[in-house]
Amino acid sequence: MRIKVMKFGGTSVATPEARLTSAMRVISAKEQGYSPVVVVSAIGRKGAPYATDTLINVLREIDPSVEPDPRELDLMIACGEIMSAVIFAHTLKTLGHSAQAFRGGQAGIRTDGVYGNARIVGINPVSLFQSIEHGKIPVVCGFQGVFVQTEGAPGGELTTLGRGGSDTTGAAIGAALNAEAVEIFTDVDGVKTADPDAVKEAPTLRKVTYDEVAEIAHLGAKVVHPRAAEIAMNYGIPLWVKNTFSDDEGTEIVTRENFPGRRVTGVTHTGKLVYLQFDLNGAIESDRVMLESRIYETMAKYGINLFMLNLSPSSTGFAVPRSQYPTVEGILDGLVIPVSDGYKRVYVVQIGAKASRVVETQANLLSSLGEVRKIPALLTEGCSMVSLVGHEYLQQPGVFLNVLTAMMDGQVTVLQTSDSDFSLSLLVPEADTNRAVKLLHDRFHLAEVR
Amino acid sequence: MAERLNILDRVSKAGISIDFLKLTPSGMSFLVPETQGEIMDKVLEPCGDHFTVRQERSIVLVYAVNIRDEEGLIAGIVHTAITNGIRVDHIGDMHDRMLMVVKRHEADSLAKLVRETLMEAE
Repeated sequence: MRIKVMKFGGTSVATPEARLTSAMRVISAKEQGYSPVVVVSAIGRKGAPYATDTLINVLREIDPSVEPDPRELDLMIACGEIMSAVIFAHTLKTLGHSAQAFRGGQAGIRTDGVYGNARIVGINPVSLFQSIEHGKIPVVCGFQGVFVQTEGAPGGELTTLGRGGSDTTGAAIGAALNAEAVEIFTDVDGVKTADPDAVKEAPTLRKVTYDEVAEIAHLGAKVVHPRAAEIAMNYGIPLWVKNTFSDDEGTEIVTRENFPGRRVTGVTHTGKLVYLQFDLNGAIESDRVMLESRIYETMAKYGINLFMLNLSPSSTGFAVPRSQYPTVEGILDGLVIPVSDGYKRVYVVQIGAKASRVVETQANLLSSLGEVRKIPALLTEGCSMVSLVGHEYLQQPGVFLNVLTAMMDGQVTVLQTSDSDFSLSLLVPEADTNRAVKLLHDRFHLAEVR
Repeated sequence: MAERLNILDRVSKAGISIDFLKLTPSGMSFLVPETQGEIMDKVLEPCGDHFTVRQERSIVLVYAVNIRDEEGLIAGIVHTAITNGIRVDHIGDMHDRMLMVVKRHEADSLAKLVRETLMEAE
């Protein structure tokens, strides 16, 4: 049995015409001797009537001040994929091919019990095999599974896998069925060297490794979910990213052994960060460790996510997601840090160049009790992270020099950097994001990559 | 930035590969393999800038999928290190791990502390 898993994203099932095109690809695979297994996302993207965001909003709009229960929210948003699977199965039926729609749980997908961001813990593909053996094309809801707390207990709790979960469903089913290939169908030709919005001429990569594509996905590219690449890598399942609406051959994702060599793969970007750099020069040297400790303790206590950390003898800094910045500002601006060495000295954190009323009030109130020193934090509100992804490339001498020179030549301010085995990231002002992507794309001649 | 690039140029021309570059308000810091620590003095001296080469350091790496998205986790780990008296010379984060550079003899203690912190978080 030659099984091929074909996963279709929201745009590939958005309209009757798109579903017909997608269905014809499935039929074509069947005619080539494969037993296709289809995985579908919800119909359309943000704003479409049955897209995940729309379904979430139906609940949130009842009363925006009341957060929906995560369990109920999962039940709600799973409806998008259920409708999509049933409609796609029926589309195949109208074309003369027997098909059968499956919820995640019916397809044997077991997850942990984390509503909204569950992880697949196992798949029992018996029902899918039975469907195939009866000559049917299984059409599985992406993005969902079922949590069964006690073995043998009836039913189970419906869970969803988080954003990009349908890709993960596709890869996991591919692994469970020992598929010959998993194909992720979307509305672009494959994995590109950069976002075409930033670099129009960005070519499609014909081949990348699982590591590279996982890195690209983690750092902002939305073409395939990193968990899907990781599952495919762990189980050795060939993974493809293809365009539903073109005959382009797409991108093949392979193991390092099958695609060795030193290269720059692409440039990605992700954004909506706020950067804070705390100046500790005004603090007494023996107080600095305590001050750093309090800043990080506060960030941990309020569950703030930190990016691009740095520590030096006279400063520390990090970026935070813009969505969390109001919380950060609320807890840090005017934060009073007393010194406990017997001296009458306190520090007050000041966010931004100008002291807010909170900071001034704190400083005035405390000044009668002893010395007040401010810890100013330089604030850069709109930032994004631009990353260069490569394979066995970034460890060479001169790469940082080359990257930073490109930024200086292009007059892009680099606020901070971070790097790993496969990537080098720059924190830049958000307004310069596309320019920074283009500068790196040009500097590393990515338009010539194939 | 031009002065920083001048230094990176000298390091590159010496054939030294650097890792985990961090920009600070008045300079930058980075890691080189220990075997190249002594060469660094010779490479950097002609630049005429203030620099310090710190030797006998170890990297403590903490791996976690999507570590940056785990609320407060990175901050908690940094706080654990600092509050327990471990001087972190250098720090970095990636989507799947974070690293802290500490004196070699403190690396095991830090690793143990981090494990305990993560188990508490579980």
